[in-house]
Amino acid sequence: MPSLYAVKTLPSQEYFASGHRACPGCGEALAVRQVQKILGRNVIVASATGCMEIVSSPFPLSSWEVPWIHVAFENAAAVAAGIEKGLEILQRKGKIKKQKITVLAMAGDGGTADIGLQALSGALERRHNILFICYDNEAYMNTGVQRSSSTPFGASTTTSPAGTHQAGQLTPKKNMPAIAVAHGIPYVATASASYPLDLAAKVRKAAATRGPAYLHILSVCPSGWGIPGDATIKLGRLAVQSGVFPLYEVQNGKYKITVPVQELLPVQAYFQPQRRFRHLHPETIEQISQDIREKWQELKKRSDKTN
Amino acid sequence: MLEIRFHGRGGQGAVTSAELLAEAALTEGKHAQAFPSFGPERRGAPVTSYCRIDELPIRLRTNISAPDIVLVLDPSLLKTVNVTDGLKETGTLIINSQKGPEHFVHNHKLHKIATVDATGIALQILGRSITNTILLGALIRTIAPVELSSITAAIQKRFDQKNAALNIQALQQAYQETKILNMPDYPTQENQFADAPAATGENAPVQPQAQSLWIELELGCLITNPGNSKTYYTGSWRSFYPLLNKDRCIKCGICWILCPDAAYTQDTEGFYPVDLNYCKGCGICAHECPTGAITMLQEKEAGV
Amino acid sequence: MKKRTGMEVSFAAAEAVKQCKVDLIAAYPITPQTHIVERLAEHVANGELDAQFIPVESEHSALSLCIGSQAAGARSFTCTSSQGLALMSELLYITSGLRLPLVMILVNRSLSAPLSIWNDHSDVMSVRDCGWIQLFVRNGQELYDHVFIAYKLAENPAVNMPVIINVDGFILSHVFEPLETISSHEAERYLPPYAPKFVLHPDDPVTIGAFTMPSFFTEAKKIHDESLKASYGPILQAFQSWEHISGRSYHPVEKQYTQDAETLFIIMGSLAETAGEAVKIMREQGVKTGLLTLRVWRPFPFAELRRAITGVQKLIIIDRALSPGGPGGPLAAEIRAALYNMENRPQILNYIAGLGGRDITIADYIRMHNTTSVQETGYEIYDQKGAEANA
Repeated sequence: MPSLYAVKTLPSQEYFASGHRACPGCGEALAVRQVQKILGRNVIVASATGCMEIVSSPFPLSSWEVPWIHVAFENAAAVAAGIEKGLEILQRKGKIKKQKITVLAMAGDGGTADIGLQALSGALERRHNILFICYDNEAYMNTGVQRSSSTPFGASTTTSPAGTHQAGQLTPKKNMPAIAVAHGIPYVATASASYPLDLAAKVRKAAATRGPAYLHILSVCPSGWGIPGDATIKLGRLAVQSGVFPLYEVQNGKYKITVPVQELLPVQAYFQPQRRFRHLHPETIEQISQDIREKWQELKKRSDKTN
Repeated sequence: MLEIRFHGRGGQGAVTSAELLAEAALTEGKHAQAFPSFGPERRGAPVTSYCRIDELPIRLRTNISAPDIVLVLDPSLLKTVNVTDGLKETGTLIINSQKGPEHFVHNHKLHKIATVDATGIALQILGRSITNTILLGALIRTIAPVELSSITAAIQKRFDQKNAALNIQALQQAYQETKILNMPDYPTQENQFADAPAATGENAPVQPQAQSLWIELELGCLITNPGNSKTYYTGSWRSFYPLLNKDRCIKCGICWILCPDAAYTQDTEGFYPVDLNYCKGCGICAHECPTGAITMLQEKEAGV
Repeated sequence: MKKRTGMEVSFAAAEAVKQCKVDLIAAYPITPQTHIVERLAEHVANGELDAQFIPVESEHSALSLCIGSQAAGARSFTCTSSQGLALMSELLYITSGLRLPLVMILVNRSLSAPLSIWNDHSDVMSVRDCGWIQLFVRNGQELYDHVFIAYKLAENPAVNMPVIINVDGFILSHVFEPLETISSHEAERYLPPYAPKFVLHPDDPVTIGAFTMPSFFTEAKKIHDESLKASYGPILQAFQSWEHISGRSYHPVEKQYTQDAETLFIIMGSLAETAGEAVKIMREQGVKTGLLTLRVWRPFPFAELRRAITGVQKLIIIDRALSPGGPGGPLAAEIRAALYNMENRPQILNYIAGLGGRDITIADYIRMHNTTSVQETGYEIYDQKGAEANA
């Protein structure tokens, strides 16, 4: 566990300004704020449609103290790719000065794992020098909590409701980091705003990577998950400590768990505070728990093998 | 036609209020319409919802800009939202407040002003600060656009048995406890601000949003001064505010790094004072503070 | 007279794009657009053009990349056809809404289903209101010329609007024909470097693509409409300055044999050339007919069109696209609307013709001209066989 005071070493400058209209206790806005702190000023952001886009850019106001563009829902990676290639040639032709500028594409889980997957895959495959961050709050929160392919098994959403004939989401969560890894890109990592130092280290590494880097940040959503706004950080921690969302990185194909967990907490500790899991039967939870433990062991094996 | 506007916060059930009222009117054979303000509002942000009631079919598809009745579900809204905007001179204002209606008299010719401590009733009966059904009790008592029994029927239809019973109990208590001021009976010389919207206690200035009348649109509606969202004070969304006990503060910066709204910045002494212009009152700081130096306190009310 | 070179029209387009020194090309292959982007890829691979060539995974990403690069200040180009345009559709509206001066060549092809790879104008008409400047060319020379004109126009600070150049697929795009090129020196003289007012750069952060509440949206659209209409003047200027460079003059509405004409054909695109031949033959036979070709579809040349049809008794408007269940072809529908308030407005005969690559011959134009009836629906889908039966 890092020192309590270590967070003070993080940059004081803010690039995601106050006055944005995210819900109180928004884990995604917090993650965006932490990420932009680390990326600093020399960055250009291409944002997909979604909560963060809407809350940060109600014309004529903007929370972005760095250059920022929003085009559409499914194409953040492609827009970022265009910016990156545009900057590269303008610098090469001497039309603008040579300097390191991080090009960041950001999207929610829908803009990454569903509608944005094709553009993302294309950008990763073509080896654009961009950083793609998926802020995963596990459903379409901007439109009112509809399920995505990143919604975990069992979670109740407005389009995978817990009813008498169906207990929430019927399919397991899509493993986006694994899809990113499968593209053979140099850096993939998971992160959480509940672990700001781990997140900062990964953002730094990702930004320094030549070629595409992919970060997958679990973004706790009080409104969509049915928790009080002050429980955001706690839920982020429980997700990690229960093995639901392990924090790891994959550098050039080598796995490493960055926040080790000695003994996984029961998944019920993570589920219990959340309204979206409240309907689950103990047998279902046991089944989910089994699955989490298997995946955790698998990840540990991979991580041990390379370390 | 009776036009009613509800002021609440995203997630407080202002829309449910409007729909329950419309449902009640329908059960009486009247015509009614209920709708939200459509927008990107988030939980905690000031929102409005609307209800129209008439004997004839309603053929209007417009927002309500000159309501007959305004209901305010959350007293902290009074600091930032001009709730009486467009309210008819013969209109009625109903506010969730511990104060008496005479505190809300201002230079506006109204028919009636009523108050009820809806938050108090909600906490006592429902165990949480959801005031949407309770304000309907005050509405029935004050102006009776529908019968109390119609509202209870609408509640029974909408909620499960247990919640319906609790909500009806709360509604009935509100009906009993509503304080009403008949404006024609009220001395005119006192028609002025009885309780100015000044900042109260710890909660620093939260200003209403200035609406610019003229903006030059740049090419493609591009924004040339980004970061200007700081002119929008999200502190107005807050129902609770954090209070720091400096004696317990160890200046670790946890509150600062975990604040989604960047409301904390370090001062020269090394403390992290909160900027209440932006604090939405989520309570993460209080929850995560390793020494328990931060306490969340309920916002105080202000007048209209 | 300058030396004429024989060239496939697609390659002529690529040559012009190269001479415009674009910084970035992003494209996805679709018939019949492929020859243009293949040639550009070659130019980049051979070092003849210093640009990024990004072979993307979809047309949607092609235009997305161009939006990103253009916003970063790079002169960008893309090219597509038919279904590719349909897939780009939402981004077309965004490009113009963000006022990014991209240039796209649209090699016109019909929209599926049934699937057809051949030419008509149903692709571009499906995005009629996308807010771009939309030009149509008749031959390879015009396509070559209009690439320069389009960049000149798009990047004009008084315009700042993306431009689509429409070129008919196969029947024009794949034809080998002679044309004159300009020198690189002349190209530089005509087209100055791209100098946008705002770019995405950390030195001067801007926010692009904010969302608007109802209080601003109408104003934003009104400005867009006014700007597009106001681009008419700069279009005329761009044509004029091109004439100084190349000696070739262009007009929003091209007129042939319009003097004392009693009837006028109106058409867009390369089929106007055959129509011109048909009109010439009819004139030789003493028929008082003429031809108008719309080069500029957006902004719609209202005044020039009204002037050009004054005194004419009948218009024969040939559409290359259909509005099923609607008022006929889009060109005729718009011209009807444009003329509605005119006194003594002409009779209008609307033919929907040449769909999905169906040939329209000189004989067809003559048949169309000699048909006197106007159908109750106001239009007729011209399928040759029917015309033969009527003849």
